[in-house]
Formats: sequence, structure tokens, C-alpha cells
Amino acid sequence: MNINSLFAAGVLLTSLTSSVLAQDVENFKVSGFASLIGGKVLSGAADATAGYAHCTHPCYVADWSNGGLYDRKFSLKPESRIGIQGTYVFNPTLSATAQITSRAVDSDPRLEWAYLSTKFGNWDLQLGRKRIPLYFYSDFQDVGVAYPWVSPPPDLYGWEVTNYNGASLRYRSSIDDMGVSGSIFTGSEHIKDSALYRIYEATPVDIQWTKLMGADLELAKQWWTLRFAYVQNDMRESYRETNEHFDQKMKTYSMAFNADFGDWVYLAEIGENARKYVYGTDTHYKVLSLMGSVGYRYGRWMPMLTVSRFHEHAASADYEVDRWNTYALSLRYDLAASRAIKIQLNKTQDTTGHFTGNTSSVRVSYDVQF
Amino acid sequence: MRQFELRNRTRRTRTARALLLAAVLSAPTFSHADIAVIVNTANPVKQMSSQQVSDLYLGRTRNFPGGEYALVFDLPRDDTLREKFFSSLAGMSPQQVNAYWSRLMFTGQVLPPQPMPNDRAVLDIVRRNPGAVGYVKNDGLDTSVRAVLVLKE
Repeated sequence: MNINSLFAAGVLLTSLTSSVLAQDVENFKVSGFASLIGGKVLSGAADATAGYAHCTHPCYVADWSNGGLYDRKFSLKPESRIGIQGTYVFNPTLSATAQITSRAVDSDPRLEWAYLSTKFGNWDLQLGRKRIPLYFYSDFQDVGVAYPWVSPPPDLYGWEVTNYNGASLRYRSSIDDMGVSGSIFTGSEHIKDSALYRIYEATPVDIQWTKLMGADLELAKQWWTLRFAYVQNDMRESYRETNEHFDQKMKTYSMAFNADFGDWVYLAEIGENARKYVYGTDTHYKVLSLMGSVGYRYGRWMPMLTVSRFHEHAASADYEVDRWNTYALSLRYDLAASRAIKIQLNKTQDTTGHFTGNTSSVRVSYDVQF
Repeated sequence: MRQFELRNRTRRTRTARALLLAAVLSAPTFSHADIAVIVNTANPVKQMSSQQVSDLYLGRTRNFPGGEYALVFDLPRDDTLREKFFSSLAGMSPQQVNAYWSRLMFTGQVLPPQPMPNDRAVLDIVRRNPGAVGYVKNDGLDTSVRAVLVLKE
């Protein structure tokens, strides 16, 4: 049975079981989110030596995936965005969803999500385009109102690829008073002229993630949430100018633990991304990223201190490793149930001196969900 | 020793019965500030625990305890009754509830409960739809719907 006939069977099954309630289901739902974010680099060396083609030193990389960089000049461009999501509910167990996001840094609106979803009891089968749930905030990092910072730490949330075309199967339920949500997914993605590569390469690079397979599991009970994820894929970098291709195999593990005691909030996440290059001399490379946050909820205010780290290791001495630490102080104020303003100060400590040098930056945001 | 345990257990059972009796006697006199979780009278579900209601309103389950599909209705995002409901049910502020649902909605996990304009509209739809569940102010509720849980403020 191929995936199309499986889906057709699902449609038939779900439309038979749910016809009783269908009359009161709102068929078309539109919602969205927007973040207006402005920022600038406050201090840093103008003569940093890193070979970042599109960074005017000193610069701060806020969004790797979309190429959002700040420099000395205040700008609203690197991270501001608006997303619209429409869901058509055929019946309580079958729906189609599309989400389009437009970013100031990118001229064209992009289809981030587009999938058909069918439910069987506590299971959801989704086919189409989705975001990869690599780390805790990966699949909702565009939705600023849903987290305490101006953006989740880019030391963990900086990837060539954020989406995939394929299929996922998710289970959601509760065991006693513990919420359980787990999924498996598979697919691939092809990116033309990668925004991440544009940060440091002078010429366009296309990226392919194929044989993508992964799983995540989240457990939540009263004050804590624990999440694990694993993703593996093959990656190909294609340099257009020279017509060269480089292949690598990737494995990514992550674990997050969040604790919410009402007033005090603790967030922690650790991830390892290991790459094995399969060209030239066999080379291993891995990066260990981690973050820890402590925040205090004071009415509508939430000040938070975050420490994060990006630490590369390479088997070959030819590979110049990048390592840096980031210290962030953020403050969120809830204007209403789904509108917030935030301010965040970041200090980046470039320990190997191959990155952007030591910099400090400030960003402010207005986040809304509608 | 065994007898002592048995006696103790009997005493505990008596105390529990007395408490239950008190609860039954006091049931019709809920204060006006209470919130009633209501279902259609055709729904076989007679009562629900706050955990079961919380699972429905936080999208952890889609079904009533008996296994029937639940059509969950909510109030507008900034509604004061909604604020009291989630605070009493899950200890969550409106900001926390909305951040929680933003994540689930925009990552394709679950669609949030359908918001109705006010609790009058919730009452109407629960009266009409055998699979509906909603919450309303617990004052002047007649027998056209069934209260399965009452939450104190």
C-alpha cells in the first residue's frame, strides 16, 4: 500500500466516523503571528578576522537559517516577519493547513507549512511540508509571542535547513496527569542559494537534506516538561560557481528540560550535531550546543538571564573550529493575552577568535498573535 | 494490630461518607462565582475530574472519558471568565494559555478549542450538540445541559 492509498483510506474512515458532529465545526480558521524586531550591535571589533562575506564587522548573527545579521546601524530588517495560517477543516478528523511567512530579510513570502492532516484516535498522520522539530523551539521559532526571548538562542537554533517535505505520524495523549506527545517523521528538503551559507560564502551554495528521518518525544507533568529528539540525514552542499558537490552524513540529538514553578522559570537544552564528511580525507566534525535560562515571572513582567554556548570539535587540524559563549539578559512584558514587547541585551564572547570577535548587541521586539 | 487497622479503616470510611453527604446536600447552593463545565444531556458522561477537563482544554485528548469525540468550546482570548477558568483548572494565566496554544496551533499538533463570543453562545451550542463541551458561569443553569464539573474560583 503506498502512502496515497493509505491517506485515501484514512479520509474515508474519518469522514464516516465523524459526520454526527460536523455541523458545528468552524470550517475555515485563519490565524497568524507577527514580530517587529529592531536591533543593533553596540560594541565589537571592526577588524575581526573571520571570513564572513556578508558581515560588516562588528556583526551579530541573530537568525542563521534566514541570514538575519545586525551591524552598527539600527535595523528592523534581520528578524521582522509576519505569518498567516489557514486551516480548512473538512470534518473533525480531516483538515488541510497552509502557513505563509513573509520576512523583511527575504523579498518573497515563503510557504513554511502545507499539509493534510488526518486523525485516528490519538494519532495524527500528516503529509506535506512541515518544519523539522529538531530542538524544542525549532518548529515555532517564528512565533515570538510563544517564548520569553526576542529569539531562541541562535547558538542552538542555527541550521541550514528548517523544513522538510514528507510525512509525520504523531501520538498525543495523557498518562494519568502526564501529557505525552511523540512523533516520527521522514522526508527531504532542497534549498537554493542557502541564506545561512550566504552569511560567509561569497558565491551561492545549494543545500540538500535527503534521507531525513527523525523522532521526538515530549513528556509534561504539572511543573516540568522533558523533551528528546533525534534526527539523521544526508546532506549535500553544491557550489554553483565551481559545480562542486560535498556530501556529509549528519546525526543530531537533543534534550530539553523546562521547569515552571509559577514565579520561577528554568529552561535548559543541550544538543549535539555530528557530521561525517564523505569526500577527500574522511573527517568527523561535531558541535555541542547548550543553553540554560532562569526567569522570574512578576505579574506581566518576565526578566530572564540566559547563558548559551556553541562549541565545535573537528578531527582534522585543518578545520578551524569556532567556539563562542553568549550571555543574554531579556525582559518581556505582556501587553495583553497574546501581545508582548521585549528587550534583550546580548554579549558574545568569541573564545577562538574565528567568529565575529567579542560583541554586544541590543534588540527590541513587538510580538503579536492574531 | 490487624483489628486496629480495620477499626481505623471503618472510621475513615464513615468520615468519607459524612463528607460525601455534606457535599451532596450543599450541591445546589454553588456560589455565583463558580464555573460549570457543561455537556449535552444526551452525553453519557455524568461527571468529569478536573484532570479530564484539563486534558480536553489543553489538547491532550480529543475524547470524553467514555471514548466519544469531544467538540470543545472556549471563550474569547481576553475574556475574564476564561481567565478564571484556566487559572482554576490548570493554574495558568491567559498569557501562558495563549503561548501554549500558539505553539500547538502553529506547529500542526492540535487546533485550539473553538472560541464562542460569550457563555450564552456556549450554552446554546452545548444544548444543541450531543458531542459538545463548554464552560459557563454557574448561575441559573437549568436542566437543559448537564454540569459535569464545578470549578471554584
